[in-house]
Amino acid sequence: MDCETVKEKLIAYIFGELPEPVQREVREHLKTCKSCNAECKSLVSIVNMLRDNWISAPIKKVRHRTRISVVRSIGYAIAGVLLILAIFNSRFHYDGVTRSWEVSFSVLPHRANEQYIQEVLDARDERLLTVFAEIIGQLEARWADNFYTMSLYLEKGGER
Amino acid sequence: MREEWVLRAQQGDKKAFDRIAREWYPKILNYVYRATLNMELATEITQITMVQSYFKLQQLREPRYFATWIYKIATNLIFDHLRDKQREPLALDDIVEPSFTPNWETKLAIQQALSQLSDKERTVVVMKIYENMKFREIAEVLDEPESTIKTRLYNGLKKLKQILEDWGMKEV
Repeated sequence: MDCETVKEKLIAYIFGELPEPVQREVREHLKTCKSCNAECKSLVSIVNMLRDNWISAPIKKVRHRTRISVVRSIGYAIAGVLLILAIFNSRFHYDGVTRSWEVSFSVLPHRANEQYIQEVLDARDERLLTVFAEIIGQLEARWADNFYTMSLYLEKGGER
Repeated sequence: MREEWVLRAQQGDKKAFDRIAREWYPKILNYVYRATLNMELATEITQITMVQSYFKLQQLREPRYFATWIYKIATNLIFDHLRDKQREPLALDDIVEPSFTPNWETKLAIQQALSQLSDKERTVVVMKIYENMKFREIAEVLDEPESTIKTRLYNGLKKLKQILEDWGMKEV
């Protein structure tokens, strides 16, 4: 293959668009011909420069709103409500014997445990009674103290 | 792109064409922009291309040739517009913003060098280098022999190289 034929085919050669036997012939010629080799390198360099420096349309990227189907949005809503219910109805309990936390989740409200409620009420009543007794005791003590002071005052004929 | 979408669009499936349009709009916009170097014109031509492709889709016999067919519509529009309008110097808005892109000086030089090629040379360079089309496909789009396309690309590349070297770029 002579130089003129190679130069005609060079543009197709650099893009690998020649039939394989012709591609091979050109490749062999380029190995021995300095002039054609330089021409080939020159074309490849400008092609690479163009490819390395892509020019793109200055498009402003617009964020498209994600389309959510009606069914899916209803599903999300239901899931959200169930999650909120589960969080609000969760019960945390520390077991002092086993020294462990118990967490129970329930979508539906926990059924009132009457015995548990009664125990809580009883304990509260006991605490209240204790507090009342203490307050009354303090009042009695103060009154007793006051009576004692008043009786001393009267005994001394009004003098302090 | 899958041929089935083209087939479905040809049968009147609007959603199928929407999908095709979403895929092809940015490709055609970039192609037209590179060929015209004018964003306003590129947007206008791309929109007309999409409209024409929608109304002429029934005329496409082989769905697998959709790409060549849509490039052909866009290319014809590019040449029509460039023939009608005397091309103006690049507006500031059309130039790639230099301060925000890496290698901005090279990009700007290439853009300016491309603008100095003839419309046909630039279109062939863009189709081959940026759109990565085969010579056969470019020949089909432009309705010209492959040998003409190869010669035009060769000349276009040599001109670009010469222009860039004249501007002092040593790495070309």
